[in-house]
Amino acid sequence: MGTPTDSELLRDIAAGDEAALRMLYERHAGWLLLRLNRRCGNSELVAGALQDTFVAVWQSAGRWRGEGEVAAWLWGISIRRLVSALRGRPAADPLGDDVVDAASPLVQSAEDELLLGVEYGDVGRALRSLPPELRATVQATVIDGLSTKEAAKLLGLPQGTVKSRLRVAKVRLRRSLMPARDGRI
Amino acid sequence: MSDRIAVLDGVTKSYGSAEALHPTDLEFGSGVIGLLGPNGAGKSTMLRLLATAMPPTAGRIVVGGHEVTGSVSERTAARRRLSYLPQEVGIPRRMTTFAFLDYIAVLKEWKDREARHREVIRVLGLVNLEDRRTKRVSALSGGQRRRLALAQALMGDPDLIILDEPTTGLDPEQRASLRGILSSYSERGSVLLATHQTEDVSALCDRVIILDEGRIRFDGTVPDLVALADGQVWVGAEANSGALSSWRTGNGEIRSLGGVPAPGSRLADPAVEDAYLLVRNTTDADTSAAGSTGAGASRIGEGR
Amino acid sequence: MATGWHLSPELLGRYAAGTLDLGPQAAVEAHIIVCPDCLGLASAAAPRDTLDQVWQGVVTATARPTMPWPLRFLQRLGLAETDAVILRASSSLYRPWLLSVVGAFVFGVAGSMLPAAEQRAFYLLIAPLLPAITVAAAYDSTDPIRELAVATPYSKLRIALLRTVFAVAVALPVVLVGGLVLPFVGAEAFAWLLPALTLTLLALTLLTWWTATAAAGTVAAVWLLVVVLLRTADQLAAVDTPVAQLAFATAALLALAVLTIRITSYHAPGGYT
Repeated sequence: MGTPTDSELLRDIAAGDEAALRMLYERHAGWLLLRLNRRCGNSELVAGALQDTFVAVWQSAGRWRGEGEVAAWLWGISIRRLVSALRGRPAADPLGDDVVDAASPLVQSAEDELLLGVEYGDVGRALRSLPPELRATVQATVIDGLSTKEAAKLLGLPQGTVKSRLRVAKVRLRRSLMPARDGRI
Repeated sequence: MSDRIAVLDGVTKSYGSAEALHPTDLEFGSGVIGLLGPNGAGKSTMLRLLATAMPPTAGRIVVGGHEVTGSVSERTAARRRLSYLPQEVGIPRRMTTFAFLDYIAVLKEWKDREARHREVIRVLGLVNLEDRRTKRVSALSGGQRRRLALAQALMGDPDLIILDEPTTGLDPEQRASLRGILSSYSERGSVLLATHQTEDVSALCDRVIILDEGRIRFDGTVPDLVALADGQVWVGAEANSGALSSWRTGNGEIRSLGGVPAPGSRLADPAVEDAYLLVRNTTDADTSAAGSTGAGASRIGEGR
Repeated sequence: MATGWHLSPELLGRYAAGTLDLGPQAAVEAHIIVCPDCLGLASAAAPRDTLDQVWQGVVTATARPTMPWPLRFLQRLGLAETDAVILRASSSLYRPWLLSVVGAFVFGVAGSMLPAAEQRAFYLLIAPLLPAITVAAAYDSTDPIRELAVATPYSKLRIALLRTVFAVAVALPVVLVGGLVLPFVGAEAFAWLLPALTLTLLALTLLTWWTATAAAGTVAAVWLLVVVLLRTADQLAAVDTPVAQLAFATAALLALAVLTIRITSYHAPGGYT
């Protein structure tokens, strides 16, 4: 018996197998934690969201349709748990700034930049062309797949601001990506 | 922690005219104490008395400095200091493993929900049942049920852990891990375990007590007990005549305990089991005969 | 998307430390999703102590059984969480519910079937018995965990009280509603209260010696005898007289005294010592 795949684990979890949940946690909790840390500076909220994610997986593993990457599905749950953890917090909470600040220092080695450029060139370049506040909005909506309402919670911004920033960002991205792609990421 | 974690002082238990435990004086300090004896020897009776599961007919029992046989509040205070694994635990089949331990934890006065649940998860991990935490008892195997019952005895930090045949139903790995848990615990408190497994005794116990028909037949260290069988175990081509027991070993030779050595046989190292069988088969009348064979023999028959 | 390109330890370190710009960061994240090898590396780069702590939370949250709704309701009314755990663990508690349902059914059927003369006797027979039997049914002297529970410091009397209060709370509404709704019951609608108290205390006292079945059976037999005698002598109304009520009150006090003596000598109802 080899290492079970993610979807096999989810099937076992749906059948009430605690050991399968442990394996799934061992495999995925680490990167989810790192990625959640990139979205929110409050480690307590992040830990809570991570816990809620796996509790939700335990309760509703059967809802996974078996399409796409389990990792992407897990991230979708995680980021939404984080957003709902942020709910009820004052809107002025500068969480959005955390994200933006964390992203600003640029001390990237030339080699890595080169490699990244080969793999994700167009998108990476296009994203870098955006000012930080627009990038944060694109990250929340396009990359994390949140609705504008959820993104507003995550970034601590009014919904209207998220919508208008997203509009501006789309225009700019389309402009820088046009020669290669049709504007979709 | 004093050296006297539990004390039996002139304790007896009788059912009508049947004496389950003859007058007994014992003191237990820290360490692992093994209680050996055949079925019906009074092992469970002694453990139940110490666990406050029933009152003695006469005598005084003290656990953790509190008199079990005294007032209600003293008995309650003693119960805070001990934990108990009965020989048979019926757990409602519909309960989940977690719910069962949660309930026992409440009975053990863990009031704070978060701390209590952490403790439940801790002991579930100790007996390797963390991955069965949401299962109903009806879905567990016999060994798993036994481990679940054991888990509740490991909760908290008692002075005295009373275990009635804890290794029954455990596979060798689980038994080894239980030994690890108990030996690490024995530095802080007293572990009293009744068992049929002489290997458990030799592997784990600092002290052995052999009970038979409600009387203490031996009380001493494992080396003292084994020394009783010095010069009594023979290996050769034939069995000793009049041997207490003899059997063919893996290499084809016959191992005999006691009796007249068969010609050509040679002495072998005794084990706890040999000494146990010797003590068991030594009647009161010839206690002194067995007594001449070993250093711990003076303790045979103590406590009567 | 993967082309044999993988995250370098240095890049991963900077991602974990949060010093990557958003573009590369997005690239790293996109790569992790599709590359199991780098996903494993990223997971290994996360702080172990946080992961262990969160896992403990996951374990507890997934193991915690949900409280049945009646207990959740009682908790909202102020029942302590530990008491709710005790009640949840009392496997015999479904019987009071069952008995109450049966009781309600019996009242309803009797109301339509018995002749008027017998209806009063019937109500007088059932109404005081229902709480007493319900309480007895809440105990199981073969409680499988008993041997374990005895050795714990928790007050067994408290367990007994919790069960009793629970059973009475379940039975009382049925009897009250039955008495008020049935047309044939007049003054007896409340005359049963003192007998009910007496019988319940008697049942509890017997429970310190006997099994639930024996205690409930005895109480039922005694009360049946009383009611039959009264009916034969055509003296049913006597139950409602001050003298009779005083007699019940005295009997209740007597039962309470014996129960108290039993409990202080450490014999809680349900066979606990």
